[in-house]
Amino acid sequence: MDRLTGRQAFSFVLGSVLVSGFLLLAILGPWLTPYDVETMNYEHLKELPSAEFLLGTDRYGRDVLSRLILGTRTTMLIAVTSTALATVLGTTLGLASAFFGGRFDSVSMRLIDVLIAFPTLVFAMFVIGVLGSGIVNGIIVISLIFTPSIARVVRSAALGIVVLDYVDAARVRGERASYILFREVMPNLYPTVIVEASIRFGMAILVTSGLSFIGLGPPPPTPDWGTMASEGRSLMLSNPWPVFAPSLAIVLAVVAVNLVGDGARTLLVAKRSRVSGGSAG
Amino acid sequence: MRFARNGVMTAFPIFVVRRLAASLLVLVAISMILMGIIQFMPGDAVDMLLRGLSPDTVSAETREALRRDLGLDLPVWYQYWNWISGVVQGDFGSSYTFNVPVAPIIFARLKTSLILALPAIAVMVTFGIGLGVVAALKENSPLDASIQLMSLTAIAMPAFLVGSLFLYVFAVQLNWIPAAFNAVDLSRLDTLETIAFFFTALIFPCLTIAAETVAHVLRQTRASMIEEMKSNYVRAALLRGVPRGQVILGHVLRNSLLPAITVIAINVGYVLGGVIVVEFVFSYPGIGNLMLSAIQTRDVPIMLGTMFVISAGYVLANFVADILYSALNPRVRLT
Amino acid sequence: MTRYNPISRRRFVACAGLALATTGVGNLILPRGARAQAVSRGGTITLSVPGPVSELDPHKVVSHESFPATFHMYSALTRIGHDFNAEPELAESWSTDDGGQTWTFKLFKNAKFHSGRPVTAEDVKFSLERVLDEKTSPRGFSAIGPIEGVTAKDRHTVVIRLSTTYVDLPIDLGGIYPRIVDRETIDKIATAPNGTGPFKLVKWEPTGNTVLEANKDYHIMGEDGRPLPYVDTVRIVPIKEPTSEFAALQSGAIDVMLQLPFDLISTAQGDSRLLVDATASGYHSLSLHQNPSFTLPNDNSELLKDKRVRQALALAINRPAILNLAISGFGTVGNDQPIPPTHVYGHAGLAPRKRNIDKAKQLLAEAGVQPGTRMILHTTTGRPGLMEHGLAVREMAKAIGLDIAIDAIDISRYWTDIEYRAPMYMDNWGARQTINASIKPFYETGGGNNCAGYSDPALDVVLNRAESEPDFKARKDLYNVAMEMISESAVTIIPYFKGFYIATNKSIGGVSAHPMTYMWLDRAYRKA
Repeated sequence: MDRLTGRQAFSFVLGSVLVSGFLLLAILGPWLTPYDVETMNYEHLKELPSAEFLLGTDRYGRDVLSRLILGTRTTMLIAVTSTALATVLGTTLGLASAFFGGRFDSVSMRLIDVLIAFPTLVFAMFVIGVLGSGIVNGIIVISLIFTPSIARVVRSAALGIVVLDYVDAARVRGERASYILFREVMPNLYPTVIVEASIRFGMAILVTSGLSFIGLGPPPPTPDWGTMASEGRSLMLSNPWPVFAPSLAIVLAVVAVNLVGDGARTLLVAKRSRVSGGSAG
Repeated sequence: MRFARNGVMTAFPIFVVRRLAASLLVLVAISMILMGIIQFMPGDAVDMLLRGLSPDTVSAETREALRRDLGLDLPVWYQYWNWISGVVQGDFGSSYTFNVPVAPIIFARLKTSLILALPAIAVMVTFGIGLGVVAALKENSPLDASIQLMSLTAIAMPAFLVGSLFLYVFAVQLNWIPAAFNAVDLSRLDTLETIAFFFTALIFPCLTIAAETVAHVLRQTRASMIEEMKSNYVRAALLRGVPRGQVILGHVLRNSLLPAITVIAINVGYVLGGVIVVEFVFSYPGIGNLMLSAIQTRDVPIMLGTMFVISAGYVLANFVADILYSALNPRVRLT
Repeated sequence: MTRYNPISRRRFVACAGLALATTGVGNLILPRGARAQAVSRGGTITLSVPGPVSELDPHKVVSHESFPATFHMYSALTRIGHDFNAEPELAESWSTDDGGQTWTFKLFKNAKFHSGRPVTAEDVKFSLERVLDEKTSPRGFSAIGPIEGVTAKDRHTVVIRLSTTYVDLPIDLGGIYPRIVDRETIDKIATAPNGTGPFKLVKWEPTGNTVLEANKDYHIMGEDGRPLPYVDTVRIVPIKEPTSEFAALQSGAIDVMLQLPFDLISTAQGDSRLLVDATASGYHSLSLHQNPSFTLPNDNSELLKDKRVRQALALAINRPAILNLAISGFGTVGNDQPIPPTHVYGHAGLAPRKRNIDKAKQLLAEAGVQPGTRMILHTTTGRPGLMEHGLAVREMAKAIGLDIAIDAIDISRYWTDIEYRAPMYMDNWGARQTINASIKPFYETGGGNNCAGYSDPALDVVLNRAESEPDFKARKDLYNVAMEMISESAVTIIPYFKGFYIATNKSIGGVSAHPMTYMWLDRAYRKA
């Protein structure tokens, strides 16, 4: 394990605090909102921030702050679930490929090569455009997109481990594959997996906001950061807050996640930083 | 040059051919996957044509006839075969909404996107590598820290925020840049005015795309350079008294560029994807916006065509990256 | 012989009602029919539309972004004026001998196709028959009146026989579809169009711009005695983003913005570079379908068949508030039927329902509806105002104990999967050119636009009689009765009539908002 410098430690801690904050908001959201997110206050349409509405109101007279808080829940739900799903699926696939090798490995790697060949955001839009928008579809699409790259990375890392002696020893002892994978191989992979997952988490937030922004996100009145930013655009001329508030939330969330990821990488990953992976030749 | 493959050396030309074949296979697989996904779409083009009319207005026979005209009654694999054999000849079928061949439209829009993409790629490569190298050389200095911070922010800033901000400030408020690309009549402008127009129209979309991609390339370049600088052979060379500049130029840079190439390839794909969001925000008539409109009108030939072309661009970029990578590093293994 | 003189039957459409409802003083409202001080010829006018022109064949157009192209390239027998009167376009005059069952149209003798060939009655016969064919015009064949046969009596006279008396035929013949095309070059209509309109096609880029140039041989003269149009070129530019479109208008890159979104109206009114014009056009309705194609579990949609439930909903909503929320107040309050009170057939005596929560709750109780009953309302963000409207209804229904969930559907599926099919959904309707087209297809049993699946035999009788009634006063009374019946049934809750706004650069004259949202530029000019 490498040590963190003072500055790096600070960033890591800051990032972790922010991320935890967002997750807490996501969980406790409904109890923290000053107003009901759907109530339209007809006398207070499109207002600038005031004592009554700390971040102002949107075009329907709904409190921006409350919607921001509940929007955390929507975004986090999609980002966390899809990242978790992709991590589980990708890790399993990558491990299996590395361990079993042979036909299975070739076939799945070919498939993964093809899936990776799709540019991320565009593919997400295409699939959502076909299937329709919504929270579930969003989770499905984003997990689909991230699984291949996680599988690839895990496989690369696992390849270096499955050839090690003690793994062979376990095999010879007759241990079951699942035992070997989870007790012998996995513990060495946690760092890689965690770093990958944190990268994907940040991307998941960006992808889901991007999709919502162009209208392919969870349907109204579900509060969602990307949708809020898009809806507020036509009033940007008179009141920029309905756009700026969710956008700043997105920026903060992604920065925080990246800070955590960077710190995790420094702390956990030993001696490898080549994107291509694999042991040095 | 020769390349190792499971212990067997392969000549460079053969390597290229193999990679090319693999890319083509990937493209075919992509087209099948896309066609497959389309099958999940609810409703079809004839429904779109007859929207707004009560279901009983148009007789079932007419609906069927219209469906037949569009070839929608044929089995999937047949439709796929028609499509892919057309594509090979440059025919992407006929748009459901415009009733004209799709290929010219897609390629015209692709050209427009490239006018935006190529400068963005140039900026990405120059600034990404440049700033990455500088940051690595001055690791942990205030300069490095600020560069890192800027890149973190750039990555985190969603393209739509940056783009909307630019649009709002420079087009809508200040009127320094055109708010809509199509609105200007290019035939009425002389050469100088045309150049000025393109410059003002492209600068902010370009910067919006560049911000994010520069950051990615920068981070990768910096990381691999720092890693290289720590490696044994660099330390040994420095200890032997080889001048720092020579070590860097000779070994470090070349080895650091390898991962950078991969990241650049990934980001080129991103740029080529029309950066749909940027095109959306700036109303830029590129291939990304075309796909978005096609999604909204369920114009399947255009959806398929644009998605395919964009994916092909990405595959091409990866192919070039692979070749470059192996050209620079003959010791690479083929996995 | 009864001669229908287009001028003597003036119809007056809202601007007064609208002016009362709109906020802000804003910029000059261009007076309707404003006479030009000095009409200067030449120049280009650039018009923006929200999407690309997708179809050049007027019999096949689907979306309204294509209208500026097809209307300018192809003339019809008549043109629908701002007051819903038929004005001469290719037909110089028309008459009926038998109260409106047989019509004779006399064409302008000097009307020509762009190729130079004169327009004859044979071309009109060909064109109308092409529209009447379901296969060549699936959207047009039922929209041009109950035509049985078209004959070319001589080179410049067309006789049209109807299956019933129908006094609004001249108006229907000025609509979207019945435009006159060239029978000799019909197979080239998609690639080398030969039209009859004031402009001809120079260039069409699918997904891009469309450029039209003036037809120098147009048969209708301008005020200076020379042929219309006044300008040389018209450019139709698609811009999807309303904020960008508006910025382009403000910067002068475009001259005319066809549909000003409600959010931008006050900004436009306050901008001294622009002129804003307005009229009333269309409405949003909450359709309560009596025979939906599908229902969802727990949507309690069978309750909608009970008139008390529908009326309760109609009483629960706060109409002025919905008007503000959905379209920023740019419209007039409505009374659950489709004809605005300022329409010549309007029913001034039918007042909008006032919000009455107690009465609504009472009706619900009578109908046996428990508080907390769940319903599902389908809507979309794809048309401005529909989502906001749905959300507002949901909010307001809470006060009477109904829990309405919103099902948001993407616009690309909305018209195919929801309209006419869902139990409870928002619908968006533009103005119709004739009184009959505005009511009959919407409410008669099996009507082509019957979005609520409504069937009332008594209403059918009234509508049928009104359709073919030749006397204006009798006709108006019949339609008023129909409106009362429709409003009372509350199958379509219509809380407001929409305003339609356009914005132009102040250097452009001769352009005004049309209640059918059409836009003609043959009388437009650049001010000197």
